[in-house]
Amino acid sequence: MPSEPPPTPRGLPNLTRILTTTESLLPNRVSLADMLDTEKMQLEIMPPVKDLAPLFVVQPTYPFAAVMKEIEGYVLVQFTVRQNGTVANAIILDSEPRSIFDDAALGAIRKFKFLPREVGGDPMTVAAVQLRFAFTLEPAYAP
Amino acid sequence: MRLELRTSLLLTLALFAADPAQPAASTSLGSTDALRCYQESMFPFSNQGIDFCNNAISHGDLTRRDLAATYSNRGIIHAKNGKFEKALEDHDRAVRLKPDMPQVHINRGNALYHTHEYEHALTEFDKAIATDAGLLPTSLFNKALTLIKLHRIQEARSALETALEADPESRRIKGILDGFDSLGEPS
Repeated sequence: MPSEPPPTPRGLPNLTRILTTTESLLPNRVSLADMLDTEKMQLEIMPPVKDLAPLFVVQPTYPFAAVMKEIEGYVLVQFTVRQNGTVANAIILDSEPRSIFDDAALGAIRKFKFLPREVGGDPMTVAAVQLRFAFTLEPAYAP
Repeated sequence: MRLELRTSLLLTLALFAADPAQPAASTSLGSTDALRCYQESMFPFSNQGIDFCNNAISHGDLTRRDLAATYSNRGIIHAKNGKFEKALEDHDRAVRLKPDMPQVHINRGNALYHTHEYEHALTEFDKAIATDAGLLPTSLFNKALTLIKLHRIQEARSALETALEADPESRRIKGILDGFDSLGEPS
């Protein structure tokens, strides 16, 4: 789950200003800006933005010893999603109980693949993404 | 006829809910107490769903199947709130009403699991397995966890392998099975 908001997309060139320039070439006519009434138009044309989404998810291995001892817990990992969607720089931020599930969580997150964040069609590297893995042995209900 | 329609609506909702890719169908189905009871049983963070279940049961207009499902769903809410005795009472009623529904056996088995009655829980999961192949992965997964509690490791592994065959996409089953595999053949 991304920890930081997507960057503000860059705006397109100022359309109003372009039309004003055109107007100066046609001094005896109604300006294009007036014709289109661009001053009143709320132009909110944004470049396409895509945010991180998991494409390939790996369930961490539940350590056998933890299963046998009925140990449950969680691991909070932090990592970078590269431009190609792969994961780098994975570290443990927090875990409970300490170290029992850390390797399993790191092993899993390193195999994740994300749809990279894109701004204006350009994929970006995103650092400090955090994900929490829960390790539970609860049987499933069937509502 | 109307009652039959309500039954099919409840089952449709259950199918939608089982697939996280599908939107919640509750808005198009309207809201009944039985439906709200079902919804609350999926995320029973509090006791508040109990009232919907009570209303649905007391109205007396549910089909036998929906009544069993509502008792079972109320049992889930009780269990999630740590009231296992009440949960078991509801699951007992549900099983008596509709013993051919795998859900009632799965949920009763879970209540027994939580009260450490593992052998009885196993019996319930086996009944669910025998009743309907549709919920086979869930039944087998729960059976495996129960077998682990009983230290019947080889049987647990076998149950997980069969569960994974029935639901190859289940990451949860695979996660635990991988833990077994990392040790090689269990003793």
